[in-house]
Amino acid sequence: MEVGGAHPADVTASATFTKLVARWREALSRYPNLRAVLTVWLVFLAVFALGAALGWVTHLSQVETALVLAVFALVVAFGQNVVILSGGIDLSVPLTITSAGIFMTELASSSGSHGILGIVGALAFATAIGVWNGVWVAYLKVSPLIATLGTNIILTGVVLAYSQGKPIGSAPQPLIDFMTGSVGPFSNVLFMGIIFTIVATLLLLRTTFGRRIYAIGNSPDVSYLSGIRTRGVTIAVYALASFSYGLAGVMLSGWNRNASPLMGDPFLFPSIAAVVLGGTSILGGRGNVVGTAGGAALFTAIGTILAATTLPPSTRDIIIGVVLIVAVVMIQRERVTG
Amino acid sequence: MSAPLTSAPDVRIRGLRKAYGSTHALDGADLDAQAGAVHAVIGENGAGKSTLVKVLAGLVVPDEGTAEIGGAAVDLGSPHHAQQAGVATAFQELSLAPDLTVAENLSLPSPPRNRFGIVSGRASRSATREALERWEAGHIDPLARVGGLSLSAKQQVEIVGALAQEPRLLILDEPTAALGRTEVEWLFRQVGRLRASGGCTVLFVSHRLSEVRELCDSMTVMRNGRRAGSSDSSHIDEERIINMMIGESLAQVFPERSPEPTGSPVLTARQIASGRLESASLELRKGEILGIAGLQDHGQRQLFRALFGADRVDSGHIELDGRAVRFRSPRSAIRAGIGISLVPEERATEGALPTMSGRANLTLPTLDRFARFGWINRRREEAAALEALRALDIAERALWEPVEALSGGNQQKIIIGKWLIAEARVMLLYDPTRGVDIRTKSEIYRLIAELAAGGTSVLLYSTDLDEIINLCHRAQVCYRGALGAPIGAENLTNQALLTEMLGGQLPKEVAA
Amino acid sequence: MTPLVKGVAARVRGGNPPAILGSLVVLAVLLLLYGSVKEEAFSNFTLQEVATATATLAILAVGQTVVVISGGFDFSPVAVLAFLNVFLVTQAEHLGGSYVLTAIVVVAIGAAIGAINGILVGFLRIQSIIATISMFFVLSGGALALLDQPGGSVPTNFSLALSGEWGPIPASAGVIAIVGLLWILLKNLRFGRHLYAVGSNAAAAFARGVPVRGTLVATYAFAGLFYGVAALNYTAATASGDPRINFVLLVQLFAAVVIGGTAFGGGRGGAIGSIVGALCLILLESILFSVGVASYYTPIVFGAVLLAVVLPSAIGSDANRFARRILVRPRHTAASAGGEG
Repeated sequence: MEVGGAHPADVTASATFTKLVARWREALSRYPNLRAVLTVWLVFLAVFALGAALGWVTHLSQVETALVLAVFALVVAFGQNVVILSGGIDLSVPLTITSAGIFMTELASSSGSHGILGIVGALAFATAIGVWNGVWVAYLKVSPLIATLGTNIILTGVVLAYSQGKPIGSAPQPLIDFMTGSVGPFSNVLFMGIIFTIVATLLLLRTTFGRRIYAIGNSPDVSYLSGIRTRGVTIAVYALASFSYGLAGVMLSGWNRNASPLMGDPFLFPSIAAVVLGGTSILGGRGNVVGTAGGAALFTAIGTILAATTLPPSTRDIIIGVVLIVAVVMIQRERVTG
Repeated sequence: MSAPLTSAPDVRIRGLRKAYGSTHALDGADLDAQAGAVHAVIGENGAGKSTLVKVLAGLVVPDEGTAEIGGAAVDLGSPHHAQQAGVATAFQELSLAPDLTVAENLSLPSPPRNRFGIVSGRASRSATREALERWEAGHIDPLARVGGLSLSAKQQVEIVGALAQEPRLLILDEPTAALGRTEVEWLFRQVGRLRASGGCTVLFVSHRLSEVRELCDSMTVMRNGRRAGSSDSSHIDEERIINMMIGESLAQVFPERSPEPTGSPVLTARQIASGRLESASLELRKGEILGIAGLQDHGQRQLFRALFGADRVDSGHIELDGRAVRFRSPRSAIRAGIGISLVPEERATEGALPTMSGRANLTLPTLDRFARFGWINRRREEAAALEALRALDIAERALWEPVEALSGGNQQKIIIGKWLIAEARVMLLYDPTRGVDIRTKSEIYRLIAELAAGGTSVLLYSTDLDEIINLCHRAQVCYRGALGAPIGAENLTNQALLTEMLGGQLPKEVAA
Repeated sequence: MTPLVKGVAARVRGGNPPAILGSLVVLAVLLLLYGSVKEEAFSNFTLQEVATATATLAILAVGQTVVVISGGFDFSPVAVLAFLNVFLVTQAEHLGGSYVLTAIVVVAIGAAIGAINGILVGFLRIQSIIATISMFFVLSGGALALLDQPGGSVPTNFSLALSGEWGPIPASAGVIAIVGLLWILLKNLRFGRHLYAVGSNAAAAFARGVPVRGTLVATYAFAGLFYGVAALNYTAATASGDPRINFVLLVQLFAAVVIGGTAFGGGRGGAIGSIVGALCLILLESILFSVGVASYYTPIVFGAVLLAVVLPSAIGSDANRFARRILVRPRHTAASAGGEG
């Protein structure tokens, strides 16, 4: 969209302003998700502003804490995001996180090597779970909801059987140090979050793999007829997603210093919520990571702020539920009219 | 048939407007139909016919405008209201729930019930059976699950469902789209009976002029969301009708046809069979446009899919440049230089990736060419996409706008366009102009002609015989799973094609 | 009876067997195993145990089935259960000791909660997954607000009334039977036809004049009603309140529905099958326990059973029908659709 050539007399503030507005409009239409993404992050800031105004937020460190927790939520939400983009849904989140965490702590405490083996092993295990999910969905044609639900149930049993009567090992020290360390006033986790978001965004938007994920989420038939290996991409999607859950499990275990059998449970619903809040269509094919990051942040922010208040956990949950509904309705409105 | 309680109504529509975003589906549409008449509503795809139907059926609320049935203004705010007003519709996109039986579907929304409020399966079964028999469709089993019926049987059920409501106004929306010849004759008979009884006015929406001429008393021609013309008789000059429909004369729509290519074939099929397709042999030469014609579901779809590797070839083989090849999947066909434009039969809108940009759609099959180690080079990709858009005569903003925001015609062009980038030597175009407005149709025709002139071989399937006759060098007809021998350009006529499409028997009423 | 048998036979021959048959076969197998493995398998005591254990799951599954037939998914049942359970335990005294009144109030609240879900899905057009997850949060918070620790009690009379015995049969079995009959009634009302129509093809149903939005509200409201009945039974059986959410139950819920033959695409299936499915799961658990399999292996077996049940129907015919439903697509219909055009 061209804004006409400049005459010397036109170079005034208002002309530049019009030009900027025109460029902005073009950007908005070029990147349709931009609006959703910005909205989420704006609301995130607004929530904190509100919290500050209401006296619930007194310290900048509270913002930081919220962001740190949000990073974990984001890593999980990214996995869910990719699966939803491809047109599915992943209910194996909780137990993949948990089993990865437990796998790592067990491996780490039984071997030396600074826990590297444990971390790598856990990530590999998580990825394998994803491949299993992907095979069920892509080759055996089972619906993603049931396939991943089945995986979750099976892993529940595996974890239960394994941890029965055994104390959960602790995470390797180097990992703990890394996760709880900081550079200056900023926690390491925040940096991880930023790097992760950048890498994840680039993966989705700039690689052939990412492009194909969007494609099969839009239409598996058209993708197939355009030469995409739909089944292979699907398996890769679930593998990537489970890798993320495993990563979150590893990170969490480092942060918490150990793993526990229930550690993955609180992440399932928030992962779905973050993805939807961030503008990804639950029907697949549309959305991006920055939005999901915003969604995760927003979701966690509300939770953290509410945690800092004297409101009991019950009211917090109610508020979260209501906010989620309102947000989704608004997104829906936007989509229908926009 | 029971005597009508009220006599048939006049239908008067004024100033209907309906906009979807910036698209005006209806732009001040009017219509007048005489009491008891069978009134045709004709127009090209995109002229507003289906929106008009949806408004009358209560599915869509217009932004403005009025409708009067029998002199009284009607509120068509919902399907319920429409039914109350005595309007029954047989929809083009069938209003049947696939998991329910015929009887269960037809007894919706108010199945008969006993005094306790319990729905009586027996009563709905017998009511349905009665209706089916009354309208000469007794061969359909009321207990059959709709999802398992053939497309034409489903359409028959849909039509009987509307007939059985004993409406004052019956709307038939492209009712013959999925019907075979015998069923079309069946439909004409039932409409004839309706007309004779005098209790009902019929709106017959179609784009098939021969049917309109045979069946209808009067017509309204729609174009661009409004009435472009009307007539009290159906026996008016076809030329005039077409003029009203498309605003220009037919001759300009088709480009010059290049001379028939000779030379060795690029793509050969030797007696291939795949699913419903039993035997197909063809030879497609370089720069040739070979037409395929056939009634719905006679194996042509399987032919295209088999040639593209999307379906397995059960027997026979395919040759490319004289060498036998086997396509295990579309990937191998694409690598061999074949491209396909294949739009699903039921919905014409799913040939592209709707929420993705024009650029992403165009580069989908060739993505690896613009990427190194998986990393996409945006600049090169955009350059290639831009070039394609220029060749297709689409505005630059289609690069980043989601394809669903483009018109149906432009979407179709993009679907074809991705094979330009792929430099496909062979293009398999399956009904590429379905649902496309007339302007874009001629652009697509020009595109096809240019491609052929440039050496690309085109296999073109179309439900519009005019396209086959005017665009193709030769044509072959699919009938009952078998592909007939090629018909040369000099013998390509409506008559010849229809004869083969019907298996060699030409019924008396077909217009030449 | 004979028209029923003939009808079923016709459908089996026609390649479209009623969905419940599979689960009945599974049930038969499990009953055999159960009988051979468990001591005093069919004694009054064990029957009582099984009935009580099955009841909560089965009744919840009936509610979920209604939603699934309409084409949606309900993630809120376990939260509704916790909420109503806690409500009953803490508020019962305010209701003046009439059990009937209390029961009605609880069930009515369940229905009201369901109606809200229905409004979210039907009128506000929110996807059922999101809507019910949101409701889940609200209700779990609400449960905590009413009772922050497990505890409380209910009068023994109440307990016995619903989890004791009704003459020769366990009360729980009686409640299940009532719920089953209620479902059959619903299915045969106009609402029932509308429900299946909406689940099969909501657009077509709308075009035919079916009040889609109202049907959806009623769908979720009835589901909520069933969840309320389940809460009554659950509270009577456990005789206490617990605000904590039982996620395993949610998983078992979906499993029961699937085993019972109701497909997640909507428009097909039935709640009687889900009751059978619930029974199958409980029997399975019991069998494994009797055989000496440690309890932590049961989830593995459940998962395997779930996948095994779903496998044949997923690979089999009509893979295309799933393609219409959100999040239920086996996303490679192109490869599987074969020559269909």
